[in-house]
Amino acid sequence: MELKLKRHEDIYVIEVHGEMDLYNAGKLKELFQKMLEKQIKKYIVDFQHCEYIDSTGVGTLIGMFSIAKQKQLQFFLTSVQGTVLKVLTLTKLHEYFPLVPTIEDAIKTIKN
Amino acid sequence: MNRIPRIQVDSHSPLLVRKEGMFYKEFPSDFKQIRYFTLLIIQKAPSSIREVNLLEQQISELIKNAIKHGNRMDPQKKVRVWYNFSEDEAHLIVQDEGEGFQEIEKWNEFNEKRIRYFQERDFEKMAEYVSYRTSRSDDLDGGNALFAALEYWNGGIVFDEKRTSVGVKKLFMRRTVELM
Repeated sequence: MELKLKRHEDIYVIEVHGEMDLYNAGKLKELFQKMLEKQIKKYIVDFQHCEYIDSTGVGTLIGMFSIAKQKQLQFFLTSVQGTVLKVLTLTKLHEYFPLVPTIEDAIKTIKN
Repeated sequence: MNRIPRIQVDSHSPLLVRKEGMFYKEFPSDFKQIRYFTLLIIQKAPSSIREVNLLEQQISELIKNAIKHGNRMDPQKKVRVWYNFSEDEAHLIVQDEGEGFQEIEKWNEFNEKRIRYFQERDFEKMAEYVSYRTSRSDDLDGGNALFAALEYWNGGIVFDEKRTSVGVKKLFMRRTVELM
């Protein structure tokens, strides 16, 4: 898995590339922690380039969303499709998480 | 209200006792090789049932549970897997050498609440049930693998009385093509 960080003004997009599994999901958690320390308040996690997720990856997203809710941060998941969408649907988290079709849609939602 | 599926405990279940004709492999409790072990198993599955890696993901979770929670990564303990695939179904039995999953009833109750809150679209309450934790859970435990498993393995999830063997089955709907 590779994480690419992009910025649109004060909105940060974390692109997840490859497979997010039990061996590497911690990298996303670490990045999120560092961003929290820098007082970043607006997050988009994009899955357009992510082909696989397992329960550790899902657990990481649960943890991130939980913190985002506690701290009243803006937090969206975008381009969730394929295996990632199927796994979130199986766990019934597809309606629990703030899923938005595209990065552009999430940016519009945050700005409004 | 729809019936909520539960993890069963029944040593006599066909999902656990019918091993004839199934492929068999055993693995050491090596956490680093979980996905590799999974690939060794899934290579016997027809491509039509692999569903964008979902079958692989679900098998990987079963092996991870056996290695991590069952055998607690004790290198002396093995994981045994019996498996069979066709275009209509996937059937696996995964056995570890641990103390057994003793919290099945508690887990079923937890999962029922999770699903009830989901059905009611009460996501505030559901937030308390999105991850099942035990005193042994660590940061790498998502606490959600069995939620997905119970939905995915639509032919059932059954543990034996000792709770160290789990049988799972997935029934696939064949895609039919109507010819003119």
